[in-house]
Amino acid sequence: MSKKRYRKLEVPGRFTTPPEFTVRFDGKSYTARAGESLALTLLAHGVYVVGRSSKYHRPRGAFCGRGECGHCLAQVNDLPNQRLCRCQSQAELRVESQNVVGTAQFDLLSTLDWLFPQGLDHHHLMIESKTLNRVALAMAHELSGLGRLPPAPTDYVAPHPERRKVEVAVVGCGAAGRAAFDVLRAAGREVVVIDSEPVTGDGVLGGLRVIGYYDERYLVAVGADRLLWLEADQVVLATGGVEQLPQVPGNDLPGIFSRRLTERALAAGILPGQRVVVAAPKSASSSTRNCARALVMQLLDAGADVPATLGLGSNSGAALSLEGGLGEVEGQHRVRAVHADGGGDVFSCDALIWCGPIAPAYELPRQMGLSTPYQPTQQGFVPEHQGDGRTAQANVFVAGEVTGIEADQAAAHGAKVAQAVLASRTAGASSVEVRHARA
Amino acid sequence: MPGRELVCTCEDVTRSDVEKAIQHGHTDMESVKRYTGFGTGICQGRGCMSQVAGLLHRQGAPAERLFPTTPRSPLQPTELGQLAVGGELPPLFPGPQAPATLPPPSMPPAPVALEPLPERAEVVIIGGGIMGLATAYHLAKNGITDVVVLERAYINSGASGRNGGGIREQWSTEQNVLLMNESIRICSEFAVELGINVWLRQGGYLFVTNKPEQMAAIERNVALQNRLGVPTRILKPQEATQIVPDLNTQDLLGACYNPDDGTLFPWPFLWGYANGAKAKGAKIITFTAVTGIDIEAGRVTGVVTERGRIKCNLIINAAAAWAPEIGRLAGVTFPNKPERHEILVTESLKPFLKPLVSELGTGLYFSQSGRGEIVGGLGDPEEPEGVEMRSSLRFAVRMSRALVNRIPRLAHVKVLRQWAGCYDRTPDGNPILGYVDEVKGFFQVHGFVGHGFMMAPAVSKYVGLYLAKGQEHSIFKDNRAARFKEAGTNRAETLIIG
Repeated sequence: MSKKRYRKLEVPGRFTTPPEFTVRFDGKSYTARAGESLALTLLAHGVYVVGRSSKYHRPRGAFCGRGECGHCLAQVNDLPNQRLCRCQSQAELRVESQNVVGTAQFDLLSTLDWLFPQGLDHHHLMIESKTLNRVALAMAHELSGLGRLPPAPTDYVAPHPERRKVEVAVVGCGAAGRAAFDVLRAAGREVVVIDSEPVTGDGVLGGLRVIGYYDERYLVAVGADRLLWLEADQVVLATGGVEQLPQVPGNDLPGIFSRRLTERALAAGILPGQRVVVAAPKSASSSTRNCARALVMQLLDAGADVPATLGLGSNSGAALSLEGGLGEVEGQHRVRAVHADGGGDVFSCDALIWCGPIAPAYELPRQMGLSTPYQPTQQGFVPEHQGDGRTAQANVFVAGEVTGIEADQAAAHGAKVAQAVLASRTAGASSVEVRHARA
Repeated sequence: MPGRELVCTCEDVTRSDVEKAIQHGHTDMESVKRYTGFGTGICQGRGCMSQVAGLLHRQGAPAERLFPTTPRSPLQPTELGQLAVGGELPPLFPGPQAPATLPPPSMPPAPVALEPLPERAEVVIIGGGIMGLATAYHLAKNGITDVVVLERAYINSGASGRNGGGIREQWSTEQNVLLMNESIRICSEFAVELGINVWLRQGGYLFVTNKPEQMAAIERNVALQNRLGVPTRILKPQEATQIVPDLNTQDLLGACYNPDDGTLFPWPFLWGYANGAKAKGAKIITFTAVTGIDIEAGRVTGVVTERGRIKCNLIINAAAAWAPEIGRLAGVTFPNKPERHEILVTESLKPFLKPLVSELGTGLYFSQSGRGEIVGGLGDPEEPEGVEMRSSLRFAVRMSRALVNRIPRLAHVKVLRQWAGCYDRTPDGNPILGYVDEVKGFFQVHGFVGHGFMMAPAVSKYVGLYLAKGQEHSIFKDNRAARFKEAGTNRAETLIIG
């Protein structure tokens, strides 16, 4: 263990004992604490860049922190494309950056990015001559792919799914799902709630991700050592939402963090940066702004410098509170400065907290036969539903942020939807009947 | 740089990429996805689906017509080893009790105002898959430019956009070997002729088998292929590992390998032919389904669509899985049966697999795409007939088992999505080509049993020469629809994969 590997982004005064073990990233050791994700461990050491993107070899580092985006992919103990935000730090884990020619920080092929400022049009690459075309495509193939083929498992045994039937399945144990689950359980329903987070409790199936609604019958969920084929008479979909990147130049740079990642980092005693700008879009709701402003307070309390907030209203607590939104993010390998919208103000910083729109997680509702048209006001696809969560599918309900409501109303909505579930159930209702969207 | 902000960070798709796609005429979500590649990476569109819809909306697409692309299972990357469960297989879905011909799958609504139909055309082609579009191109190239292609959904919505992209000369009949030799030549020149890359990669096809009766077939086929100049070699199982080092050969009896076979990326093929045809005057009309065929005095006089009628004296049926249905509209019965075939794709990895590998006897096939993903499928002997494009858990399990068995190192590789398309199966494995006896002016180009994609480049060329120049290739005599009613038909094609 190298004694020089101090953790420069720990919240001052938060820890009285040293870290517990080390993990390795690209050959260097980093101290880590149990309970941190690999993404947070590396962030604590100021490691922002963990790999390179598929086409232009742009730098990549954690953004969403919840296993939704694909920004923090790396090879972990020879397994490719692991989301570091979903991997718990453990002693001697071996993490390697992917798609790197050189180092994650200085990648030779990142020259592609500035050699082709207009973008590289792969459809029309070298189509003038048969010979050149052949060579260009062969080269492109050699450069393709993220990660390497992993070794064969030494002790592979085909898993056996655990098959269960319940009256009600709630998907998602956020505020809405939890509230719905509690009401249904209190009413004596045979109910389970599934969530990818390691939540626990009676009827709570934590650490399982629902990977689809198969054969108009099974909710299939996968965990580290668990595989579940679940059948339910009624389903409450509280799948929540996915934080979206800002749509400004430089929007994919490492050092741009979602609100939820920031909350997690702070809860783990880790600062996302020393100088942090917090921004929200002009269209942000008052609830989002309130969350963002609370985050500013936490960041200041934790010892970060907040030179400015953008779009959070006046007197946010930062040195400067600008009403305008985000204009551009600047930096080579990671965030170095943030431009306010409309030009003029530029703030040097090492992190940008983006409190952006949350797009409903429509995928499972759609697979269960709900219509999910685009809603411009929500900037996302919202499953069609009534106020109490009922949908065109008699046995499928939606609750919480997936319906486009604000996070602070999710718990109340979950409870209301649970009442609709209780009211709707007819005696002897059999398994979920859904007409699937075909194709 | 304006427009350089990334919309899809998994595949590095910028805002200007999306705007260019829209300018190129890809104005629905499914088409933009295919042209730009957004939403095909590890996050499967979670971070970009609504951004792209927002861009389309800002360019004038009405919100109520904007839907996300079909969310495919698994919704989170899932290891093949986790899907390859032991024990009993899940039952068939939707199962044999489903009617033989289900209503056609729902497709996204047309995104923008559609151009009006022409009143008449010299030729109407039904089906905007590879066969229809390539035929339009070759008709126009040979002087028949007043051609309309009618497609019921978006380009690439059918089997042409859902297949594994394999292209091979290893066949069991002389005609197919020669056709495919010609097709591969055309593919290698496609980018220069039609101005778009199709990513042809000649990594070969490696057929393997553990069935003694298949070894005899391999010997017979390889002798035929060698006689026709195709350099296929018969390999012992151990020799096959020189081509695919991670191959499990424990149960294998032998293999054959032709280095000239390969894979390509299906979608740009269709755009290339469509644009080539349009540049020469043909019209490609999407989101317009055919509902009837006008016949007067035993001769076609027009095509009826849900949006009106086009008068014409020549109709080409290139509707593949829907071809028998189109036949019925003209009162002609064809023996083809649509049959679902499922397929999946994994995360992308650095190149490690050179050829397409296929198991004779089980129908397993897989290859590594130009982008590094493992793409593959596996036929199901229990699959009932019918136009059906939903995915099943049974396939996910069967396919994962088969892949992990054949290449154990794939156990930790993660599946990103699975989908399905339809084979257009004929009784003898050969296509139905040419005019029919029952109705004049009704030309057939279908029944390719899942291999129409690779055969289209050559077949469409001969259709063009036949209809525009009167040069009749032997494929039209040998593959007439009438053969099924006659004794002593031509030799059945046995090398059907999938």
